[in-house]
Amino acid sequence: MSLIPFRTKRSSGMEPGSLATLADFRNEMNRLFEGFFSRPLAAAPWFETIEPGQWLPAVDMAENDTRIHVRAELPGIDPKDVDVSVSEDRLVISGEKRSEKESSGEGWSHRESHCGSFSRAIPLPEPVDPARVTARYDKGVLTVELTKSPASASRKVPVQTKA
Amino acid sequence: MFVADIPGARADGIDVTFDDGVLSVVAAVPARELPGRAVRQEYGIGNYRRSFRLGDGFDGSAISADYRRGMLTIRVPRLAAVWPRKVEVRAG
Repeated sequence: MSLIPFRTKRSSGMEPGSLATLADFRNEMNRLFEGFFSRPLAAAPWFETIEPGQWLPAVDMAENDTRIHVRAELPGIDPKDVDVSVSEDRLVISGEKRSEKESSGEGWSHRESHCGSFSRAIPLPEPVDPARVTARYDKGVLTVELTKSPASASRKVPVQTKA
Repeated sequence: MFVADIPGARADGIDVTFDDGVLSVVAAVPARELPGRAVRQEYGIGNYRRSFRLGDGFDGSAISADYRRGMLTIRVPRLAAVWPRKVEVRAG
């Protein structure tokens, strides 16, 4: 018995709404779904992009009049493997989470947690002073405290008039 | 071996139990509000709870748990194999 391949008859000049159009639509939807669900939501184009094998730690951020506080969940990471860098308008947290089990030569039967390198570039709501930043790692949570740049404080701008 | 990410917990706030073949982990995590108004909130707030049915063949009295850098590692040793056992037939 031979199998008869499904033909879309694209070249047969079928009208829109025919099977050929439905097949194209289905293929396009499959492509979109595969692209969307093959990576974490946080890695969607409107957030940040990540390379294969990377992961994105969850981040919380809050601000008051003078400071910005950022917390990132980085469980199981040696603080020496975490890099924190600050520019005027952006905080970058990067590093690597090593798997202890892989080094012991055992395999996983079930795996949910992330492993490997990570990097997050977090836009800051206001410019900060890169020289006044502290970072502390405790129980798998990284806390970064940034001081807003004095130049970013709102100031009154006089309106000039023609003499 | 089980490895669980439990960032922000304390070792004395984590309960690991093994009862009737079920390994359970319950962890209390203190509130983590940041000072000021929130700009970005991505991680959930609350306690952790998870159970795994392991079945027979594990030694519940020899389970060890270690919490370090926000990661809980539980080791559950298997019982020494009892069955099947070869029975030697002696000649009369």
